[in-house]
Amino acid sequence: MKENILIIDIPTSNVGSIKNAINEVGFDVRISSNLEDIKNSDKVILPGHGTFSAAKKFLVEKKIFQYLKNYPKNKFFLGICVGMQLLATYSYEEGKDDGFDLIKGEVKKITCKSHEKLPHIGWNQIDVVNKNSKIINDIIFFEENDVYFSHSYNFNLENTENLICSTPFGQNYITSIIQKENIFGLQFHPEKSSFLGKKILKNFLDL
Amino acid sequence: MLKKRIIPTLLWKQAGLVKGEKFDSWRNVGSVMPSIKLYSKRDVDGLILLNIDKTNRDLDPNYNLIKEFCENCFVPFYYGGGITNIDQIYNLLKNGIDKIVINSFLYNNLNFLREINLNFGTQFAVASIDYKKIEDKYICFSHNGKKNEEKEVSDWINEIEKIGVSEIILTSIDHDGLMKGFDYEFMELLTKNINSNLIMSGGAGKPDDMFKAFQYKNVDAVAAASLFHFKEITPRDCKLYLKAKKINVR
Repeated sequence: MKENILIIDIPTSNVGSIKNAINEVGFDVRISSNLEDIKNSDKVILPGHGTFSAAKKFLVEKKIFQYLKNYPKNKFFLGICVGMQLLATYSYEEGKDDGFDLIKGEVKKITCKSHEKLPHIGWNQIDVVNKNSKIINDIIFFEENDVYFSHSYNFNLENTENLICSTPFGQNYITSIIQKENIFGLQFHPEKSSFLGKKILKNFLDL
Repeated sequence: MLKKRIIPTLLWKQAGLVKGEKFDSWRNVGSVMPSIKLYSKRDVDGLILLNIDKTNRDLDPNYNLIKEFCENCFVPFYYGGGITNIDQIYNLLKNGIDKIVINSFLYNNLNFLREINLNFGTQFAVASIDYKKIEDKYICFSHNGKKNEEKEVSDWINEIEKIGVSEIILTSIDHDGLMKGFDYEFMELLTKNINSNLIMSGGAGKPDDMFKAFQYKNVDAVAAASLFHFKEITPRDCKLYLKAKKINVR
């Protein structure tokens, strides 16, 4: 095993799909929701389908929540979709609920333009705001910059310095990639974003 | 900008893939695995796999086979056919499926959709509606087009939208497999009133049919099978055609 990589086994998430993509880019990965397993991993991926509160409830029940909230600085963490939203200070999906507060911000429902529909589903572009993040290392952005989204809520960042990529949708824009030091978040699904998605996933695994 | 999507549909029956006309006269069109590999390599916008054997039976999906299919697919993978309970969905997700498609079971169990949304969020479930035009009315049919649900499509969509759904696949049985174009008449009538993400299906025979479908602003994606199976047209060919005509595709 090259690296000690783990996907947190949230049953409502497409863990199988993420595992396949990780294997495809050449890494082994474990799937577990056991706290000891998670503590013993160098890179942890938190996937997410479902609601913020349901995912949080699962993490609290499994006694993982506190560990993730105080995630060690010498290890890497990647949240995908709701997994990224859980990094926030608060979410307003089902009333106010607090997240890990690893990256400051609030999760709120997207306000659409008149011709747009929710959920925001399909392929949309990611525009680079901060090109220095390693998660977008070696990616040449020109025409091929579409990734796959499937969500209705957006991570409104408190500090724009955490914004790596944004996506044109809604009244403002969608926060599509965030980073604060060793903590990363992707609003889209890299495991389902074809070649570009696999490249981004590989960048994380190569850290 | 959000792109318009082209999604191949694969109809899985017994050991292989089939395609028919008007939900009948099935012809074998190859094996499942090589098709999934090819489409994924060709970077399609998604893949819909419908097990059309299933709806007539009470078996669970074949998870082992599905797991193998998913190992070869790196674009959104939709699966439908005989899904009737939450445990099946957990198993499908574990084995690599991204989205589930529900159709027949929903007619008498709308609560199932509520249950799915509660567990997996409203961005997850896809409702599929097959319909025929009967005396100027668009009527829903279930069980592979065999059972008349005696319900108008627009009413059924309203009921589904009240609960919330990720996307709706609308398939015209009358146009299915004929490759003579989509049901534009219906799109004209109906799509204005739909708030959900909409995938139109049934009748695509050439890239220009997709161009016509995307003239209806509410159409987010088109699904197609026959033109990919029987003509030497690829999703990429369709996209190049659409791009040249200023449709926003990947």
